[in-house]
Amino acid sequence: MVAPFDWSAYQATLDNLFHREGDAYPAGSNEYEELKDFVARLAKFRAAQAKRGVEESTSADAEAADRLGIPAKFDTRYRVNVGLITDHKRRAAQHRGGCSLPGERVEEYKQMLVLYEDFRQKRQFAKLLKLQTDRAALPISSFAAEITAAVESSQAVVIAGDTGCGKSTQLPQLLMTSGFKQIAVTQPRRIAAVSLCRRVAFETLNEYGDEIAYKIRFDSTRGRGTKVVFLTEGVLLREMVGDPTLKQYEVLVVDEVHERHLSTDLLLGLLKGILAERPDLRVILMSATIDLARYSAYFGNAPVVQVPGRLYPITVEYLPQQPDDEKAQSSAREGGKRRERRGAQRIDARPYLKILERIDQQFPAEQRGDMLVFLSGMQEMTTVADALRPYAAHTRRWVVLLLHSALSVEEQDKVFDIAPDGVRKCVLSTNIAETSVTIDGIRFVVDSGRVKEMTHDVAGSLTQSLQEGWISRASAEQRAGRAGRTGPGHCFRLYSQTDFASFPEFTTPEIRRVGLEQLVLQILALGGGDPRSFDFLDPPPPESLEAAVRSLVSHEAVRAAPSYLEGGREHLVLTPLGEVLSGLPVDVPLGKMLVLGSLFHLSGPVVAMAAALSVQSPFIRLPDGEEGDEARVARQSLRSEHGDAFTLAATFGRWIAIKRGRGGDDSKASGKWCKRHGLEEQRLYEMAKLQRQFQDLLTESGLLKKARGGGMGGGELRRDPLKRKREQQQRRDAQAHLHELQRKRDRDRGRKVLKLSEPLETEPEPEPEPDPDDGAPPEPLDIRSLELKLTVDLEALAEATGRTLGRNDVNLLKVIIASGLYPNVAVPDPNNSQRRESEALFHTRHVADARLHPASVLVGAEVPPTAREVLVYTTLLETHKLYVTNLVRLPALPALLLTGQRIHTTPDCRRLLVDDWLLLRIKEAPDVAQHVVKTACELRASVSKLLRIRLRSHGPAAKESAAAAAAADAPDWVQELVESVRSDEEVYSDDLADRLAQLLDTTVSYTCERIQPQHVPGQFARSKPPNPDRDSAAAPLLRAARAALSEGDQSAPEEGVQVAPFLRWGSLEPFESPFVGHSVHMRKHWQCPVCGEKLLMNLNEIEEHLEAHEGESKKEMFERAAERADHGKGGPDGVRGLAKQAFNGGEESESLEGEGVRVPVQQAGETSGEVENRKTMGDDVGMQAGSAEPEKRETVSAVQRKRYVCEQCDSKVYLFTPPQVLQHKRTHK
Amino acid sequence: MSKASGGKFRCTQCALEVPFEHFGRRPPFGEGVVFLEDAYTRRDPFSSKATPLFLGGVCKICSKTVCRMQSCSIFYSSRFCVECASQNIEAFPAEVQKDVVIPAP
Repeated sequence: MVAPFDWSAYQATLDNLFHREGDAYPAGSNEYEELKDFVARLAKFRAAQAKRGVEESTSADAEAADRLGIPAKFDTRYRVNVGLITDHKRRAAQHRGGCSLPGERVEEYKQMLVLYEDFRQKRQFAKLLKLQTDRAALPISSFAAEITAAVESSQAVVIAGDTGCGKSTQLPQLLMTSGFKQIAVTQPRRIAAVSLCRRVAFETLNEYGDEIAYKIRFDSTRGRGTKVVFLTEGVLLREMVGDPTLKQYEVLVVDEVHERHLSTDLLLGLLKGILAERPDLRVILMSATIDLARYSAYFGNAPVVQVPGRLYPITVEYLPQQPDDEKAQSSAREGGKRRERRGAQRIDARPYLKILERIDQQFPAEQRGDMLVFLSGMQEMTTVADALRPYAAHTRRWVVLLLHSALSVEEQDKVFDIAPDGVRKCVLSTNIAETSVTIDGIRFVVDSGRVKEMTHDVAGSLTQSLQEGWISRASAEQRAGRAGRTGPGHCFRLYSQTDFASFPEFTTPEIRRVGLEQLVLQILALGGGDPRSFDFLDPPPPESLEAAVRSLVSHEAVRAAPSYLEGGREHLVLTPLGEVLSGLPVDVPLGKMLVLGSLFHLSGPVVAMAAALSVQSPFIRLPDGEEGDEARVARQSLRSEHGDAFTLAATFGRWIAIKRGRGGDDSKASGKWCKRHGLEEQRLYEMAKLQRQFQDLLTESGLLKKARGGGMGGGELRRDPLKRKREQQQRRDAQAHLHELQRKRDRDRGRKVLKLSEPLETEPEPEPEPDPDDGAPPEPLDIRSLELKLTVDLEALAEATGRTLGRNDVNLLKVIIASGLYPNVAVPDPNNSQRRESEALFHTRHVADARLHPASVLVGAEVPPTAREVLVYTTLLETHKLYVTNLVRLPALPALLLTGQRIHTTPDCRRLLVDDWLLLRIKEAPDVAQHVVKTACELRASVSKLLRIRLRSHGPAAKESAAAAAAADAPDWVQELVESVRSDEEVYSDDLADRLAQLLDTTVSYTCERIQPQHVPGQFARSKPPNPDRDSAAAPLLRAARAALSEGDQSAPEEGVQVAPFLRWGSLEPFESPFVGHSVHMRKHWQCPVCGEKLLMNLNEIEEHLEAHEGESKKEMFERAAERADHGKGGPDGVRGLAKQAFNGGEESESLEGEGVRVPVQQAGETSGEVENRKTMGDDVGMQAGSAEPEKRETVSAVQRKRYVCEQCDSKVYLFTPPQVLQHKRTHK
Repeated sequence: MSKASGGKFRCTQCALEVPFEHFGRRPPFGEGVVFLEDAYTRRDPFSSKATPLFLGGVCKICSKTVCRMQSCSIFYSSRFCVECASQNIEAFPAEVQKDVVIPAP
């Protein structure tokens, strides 16, 4: 009996001899662990063999063997084609203490290593073969011939395949084997482009070459040998600017067409046009089996190849949620995809928990199968995760994971890991897992039926809002299908079958629900003609297109030019700003901010802010109570009362300073700092990346000077050539190191087994169990840090973001932000002082009662937003409540003057109506008011002019000379000269910047209020008073009454002078309509300020009454009023004020001075003295007139009585006051 | 002896096609792994560290490129494609003979 040799007893010795770092199987590696098993099994086998007795090996025909040069006598060693170079002999010799293992055992072990390597080689090769056979087994592989034939016969082909049929990975390979060499495959998401590229490269075993590449914004692996490139739709569109017919490609594959992103629709439209010009081009649309006929018809009845998915049967169970407000369900029944605001309560997590419990009861733990839960958003996911986690921890049968697009790729990868035996994954996901991310092994799907989508209020403002609603039937089917990819599955739908039946058939394409500014810009930039006549797959609502055009016109990105070809019809042209914006793959507001920022030499902070506003907030929601207090206190130092953009930029600046400050250990220091402040560091890394991208974009478009050197302290590189060389070497080394780390990370990824105690997201692990196995350093951090250093010039960035902002800078930044974000403006509710802070309400032009987003720094601001301030915001978020997010506060008057699109003023400029909803009253003398308006206008015009000049000077020619100078590596002074030649307006911009900044500090006193839409028409002057001298006292009132009568008549005001596209002077009725609140339906008390009569009248009657006054001459009226005033208590001030206003009402002259009362001298005549007196009282305009006391009526003098011939009472003659005339008339009715 | 990377490895027996990175006995990637024949290798796509994966070699008799699958070739101190091995079956010891796949005519 021979016991197997116990190698493990000598592990330490063996480790020392064979398993050091750098050896083939270093201790701790996966291979090393496997090897230990292998060795133990082999030892056992050999012991058993020894027991049986060694068989003599045979010999072959010696002569024949000799002929082939192979040994005749068999030895297993001859079957092994691999060897290992080891250093064990030298190491054993060094080890003086003597080796505990005899030499022959050491050699035996070495032989076992070789056998292990042979075993490993065979196994890995088998894996490789399996990879190939798996591909062949995919459903799409059996359609290869059909697809190839279709592509050969038709320019456009539609390939429809359900998830899991392998179309995205296999079609490019199929095209490659068919001989195509220039293949582009578009993806709606960057992540998909990169991960598909990796996947296909892996499958074709091309991961080290450049045959399969990806190209996303600012990152490309494309090389000379590239045959297939995966790119985002946006990148392809950008390529079309320089290559309008896409000559560089033979085949274009548009993947995930059914997702119908804005860029998808645009791309399809453009491709359709290109096909006619390029008969050799092939276009392949790949879609889920949704709405295929439409795609086929759009491309002239393109052939459709349908590939069935590999789906197992799925049981669908409807579990309608009763308590969850019935309102939501009923509205779903009515209008399908109608949005509705849900109650304030959060999502109810109980149904989800119940399903977990049910699964545990019904299905034995040994039966594998994970769960995928579709929820509408982050908050819902967190709520449900919080509810499920205790159950998961208690039963130890579940691991709860989150999946959403804001996670980094590494974090997302976690959902692909395998749960340990007896444990199921429960992946809570947004609709990202519906089509774009496929998780294997899902057996249960729970579908909330809800989705959050960015929608766009087409009717009114260009406000984007994230709204929750029901999904479409197509989505519901997609979701259910996720359960049947690896075996029969179950789908639990948390809604009723009736609900399902009422869902819309397909998800609304993006083009029908989002703002179309970028689309319009791109169509114009790509020569797609007038966007309003573009051949869309699914035309957007015309009003949405019009709104986008209007918005672009008001941002001065597009202008209408008369076209000579079309017989003078106007067509749309890009302005220089529009051209720049069309090339910036960001929303127009951000783009405009970036452009203005570089124009005013504030690109550092603006770029940081734009980046900050584009990523999710790095501020983690702090737990209530003591737990979060430390971070709350720490955050105070980052906080800026000016708003979120300032706070975020400051935070980013501080983080960069820490990143740059320390040596190699910065990731730890910054990590600690982030933790202390409750910050998600990943978001800051994202900001840094975006920041760099924006910088590159601006450089590319010629708005910024090219920063030389790039990362790693580009600053000093210029001077010292030796240093430069050294730094370059360091940079190369770092780059190589980074690639090594990235590769290692990618390979390490594989599929790991999840730990039960896997922490959720970034939330602190509740059990403080120290895991001894988990001592590995957080590797991704090092990679991120290194990546940051290589891609971002920390030195320059620290300089740009760390710069302390002066008052002028802050003001100017606010102007820049507001210019970009307008019309996203909110004003505080006047009653906010009576509300709790969290209940404070804000109104936008189209939406009332929004709240500040809880994450905003303006929540808990020392000074809450005042009535004289407006807030600009990026998004109107509709979740359980309505929120305005990412806020910056600005003084209302200058902000609105600088950004409003349609500003109307009274002749004295003391009252301004901005975009038909905000009324500004300047409580200063007219000259002060006029000065402010004039200044603001001039500044605005100057900014426009500067934009035009500056952007034109960055047109091709200027850009070329600068680029040429840079490319030629010309000495600095030459480049500076090129700069200075172009910079004749630099001084100008600096001066302008100062003046803009100062305008925000204006001390002018004013109020700002929101007015209801029905009161807007009443604000406008209706018709020009024929002649102020002869205008009757009643005329302005009559106009106001008529205006009030014609409420809702939205005809453009015709009065005044259009001073600028955004400003019309004198178009507002000089004195405010006293008829706010009056209607034709109801009589209301009203005292006629002309005759002083107190009357109960409706609007029609008021009009008639005033018409009667029309007959009186102005002089008469004036005299009467003067007389009344003469009586001392001749009437309330208001009446006199009004009368006096009436005299001056129509005046359009430069003589608006003093208190706005200039008495027509001729008429004042001898009574000028009294007029002088009244001057001081004339300030008050309004409805106080109604409060006149009854006895005052008696003061009406006989002078006002007039002869009145009534035709109805047999031409009787009366002596009546005008009101009496009216009263008399009424008796005849 | 050692040839730098390039192109596709293609087995003349089973038509398997895989891009290879190195041909020779000592691939530049991988720590200490050497081959006892001129080997078509590439980095192992399934391994977390750079280690060579042997794809196939060259038949000692007919010089055809063959992959390591037993249905395509056999290694016994040198590589032989199944065609040549079966034609010279008597040259191999019994232990090897039983592994030689006789190709269908």
